[in-house]
Amino acid sequence: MVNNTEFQAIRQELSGKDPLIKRIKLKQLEITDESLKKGIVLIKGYEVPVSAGFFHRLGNVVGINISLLKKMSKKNDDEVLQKLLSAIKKYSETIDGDKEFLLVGSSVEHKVVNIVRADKYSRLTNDTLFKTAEVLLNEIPELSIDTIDKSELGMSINIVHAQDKGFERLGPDEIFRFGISLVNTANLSQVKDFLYRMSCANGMLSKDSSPDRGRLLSDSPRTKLVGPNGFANIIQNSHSWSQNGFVPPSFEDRLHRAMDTQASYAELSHAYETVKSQIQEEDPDRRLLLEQALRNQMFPHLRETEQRLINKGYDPMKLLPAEQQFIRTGHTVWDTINDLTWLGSHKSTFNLTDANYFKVEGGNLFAKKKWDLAHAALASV
Amino acid sequence: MAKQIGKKERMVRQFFTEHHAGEVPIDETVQNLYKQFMLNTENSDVSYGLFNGVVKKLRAGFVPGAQRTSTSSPEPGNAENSSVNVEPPEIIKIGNMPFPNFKLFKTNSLIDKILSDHTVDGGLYSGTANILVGESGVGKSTVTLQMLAKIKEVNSEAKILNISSEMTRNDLFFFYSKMPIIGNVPTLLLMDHIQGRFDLTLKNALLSDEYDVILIDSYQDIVVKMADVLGFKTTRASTWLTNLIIEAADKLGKAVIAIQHLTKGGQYVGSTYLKHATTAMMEMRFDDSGRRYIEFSKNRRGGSQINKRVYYSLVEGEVVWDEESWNRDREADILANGEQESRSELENRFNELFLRVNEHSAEDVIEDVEDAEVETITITN
Repeated sequence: MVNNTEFQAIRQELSGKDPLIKRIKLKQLEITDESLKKGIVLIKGYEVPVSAGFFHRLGNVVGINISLLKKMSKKNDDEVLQKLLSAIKKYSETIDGDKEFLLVGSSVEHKVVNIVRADKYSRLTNDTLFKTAEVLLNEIPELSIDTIDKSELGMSINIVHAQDKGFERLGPDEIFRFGISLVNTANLSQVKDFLYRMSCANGMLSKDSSPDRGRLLSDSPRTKLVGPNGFANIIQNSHSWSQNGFVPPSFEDRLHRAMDTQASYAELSHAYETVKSQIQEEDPDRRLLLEQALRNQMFPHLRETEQRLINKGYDPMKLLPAEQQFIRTGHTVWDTINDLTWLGSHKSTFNLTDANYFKVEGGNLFAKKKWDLAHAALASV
Repeated sequence: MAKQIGKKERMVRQFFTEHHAGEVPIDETVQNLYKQFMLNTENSDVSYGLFNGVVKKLRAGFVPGAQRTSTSSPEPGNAENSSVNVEPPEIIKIGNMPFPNFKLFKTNSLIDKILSDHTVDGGLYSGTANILVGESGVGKSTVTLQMLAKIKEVNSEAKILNISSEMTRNDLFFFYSKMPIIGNVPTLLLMDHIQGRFDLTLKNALLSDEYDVILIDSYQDIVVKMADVLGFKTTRASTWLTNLIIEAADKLGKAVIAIQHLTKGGQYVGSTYLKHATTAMMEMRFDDSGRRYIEFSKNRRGGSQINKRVYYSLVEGEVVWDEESWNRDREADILANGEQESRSELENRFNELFLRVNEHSAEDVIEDVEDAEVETITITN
């Protein structure tokens, strides 16, 4: 947990560290013959340095096709320059020409790194995220800051509710706590669901943060909370969410489905490979022994599945990823999550780089958009 | 080619020609006329439905409360071939206009804050036509009846009136038993007058000097009843009622609240004329989590309060305004204002870093440079 002193220290560190922005219309942006080569654009006559990726994004904005955008890496390409100039000119003359854009600048790189449509930029300042967290903590005394994550592009404040939650079919020591994450990315501020599994045996941490992993709660109204309105909304709704300890409405259903769905060979292999990649051992012979031990002790179902495949005449090494997703392992998704979180919560004989990460990896598997064999039971109908 | 008229319709038309000079008398109900028709016409097997249909045809173009002179509408702005007395336009300086003595009716509850913004506490101004739209079951009648009762409670001299077209006295009994405060609300039940010219009863009540805060429940129901029972065209009935509301509010200085329905899709069902002509448009809806709220989408007496939601709940039939929710929203407003300031700051920093100066200074610099060049030339010469 993050105490008040730590919170204020991190706030001091991150407040004001936001991308610089400038509202412009495209016709205010000039590109010269030297622009691509020198990495500059002209705004009101001033030469403004831009990053290598800027022209690519500008091309995207004015609808230049992908193959031409790829050519942009060759800085001296006159054809690309001409196309870009003409595309900007054409865009400025259309109905959309009066639309406003935001130039996004980095004070660290001293360059403009992005251009986005002003109405699509819904990132709040880091300070607003801290203030929002503060309002929530004041409104609901049961909330506390679990962690504050910092990354190159943004930050997130993970807030957790004190209410312990148990669920049917889980042991009495299986306790969860739920909350929300206030997330700032490069272009977006968002509210996400956050869950924390407090267990003497296994911890699990999940932040519904990756779009390709889908939403932990696809039906949760919280996942739609984006930008200033979204943040106003959480302040408004926090009291009603607090009444059930911030438990996402579909959580229990997902939990039971994780218990009833078999992990695929692909999912189990991925879990094993993730752990294997963290084994710290320079001696190749000893490393091999450790990998075998890991496979036998922690992932026996993986070994059994591979044996079954060989007996049926398949070579597990030659299976395509899509084929691996169709193979049952006799091990449920929930068991696989537990294998990972056990490693994340215990000291094992394996010297692992960052064992704590497996709590997150277990959470990631739990929040996966669709498990490979989610509907496999229907195949036999 | 003229449409053929059936035998039965000819009989009905003949009846009106013989007994009422070809006109449908405005002071008779259709039911009474049908009785007369049956008594005066031998061997008639004309149904009431057919009779009513012919009455509607004969009344087409009839303006309630006025003598019908023609079946066709005059062309706007065209006074040719008519004896219309066109008044010269009266132009008055705004400062010289006669204004009514505006009264401010308070309920001493949260709703006052969004009703107007010319005073700190708000309230309902006299001389306003307010349309209230709301989803079915959201509590339109409950909220407005309680508002009326509270206005009377706070301002004992206020002359309030509830005009109900939908409810019977039996329906009102159940409202009253749950909400005793409405016992002091003078009420006109239009259903009691449905057999007669209830449109004239309504007109008399709306324009009477005896009332200055009037609730109409509901606009659409009155229009429908005027069409179904009195045989008026819906659009004409709607325009007539809108004009009546505007006359009561604008010329006679009353505060009128007219309840209007929404379609099943949640859209406003009334005419654009009504929407534009009224002072304010209140909307009562359920939010995503099912909570009831009221907000203004238009308010000429409270522009700063537009789209600010006042949440409420119905506890045993009574309206309980959610003060905490209102305060939370104001906290969110403070955050949003802070965010706006932060964005301006980020834009200033962008200008300083990439354009070296802020925007105004940049223009000044260009002017300075031009001036400097002129000076240089002068010196050289």
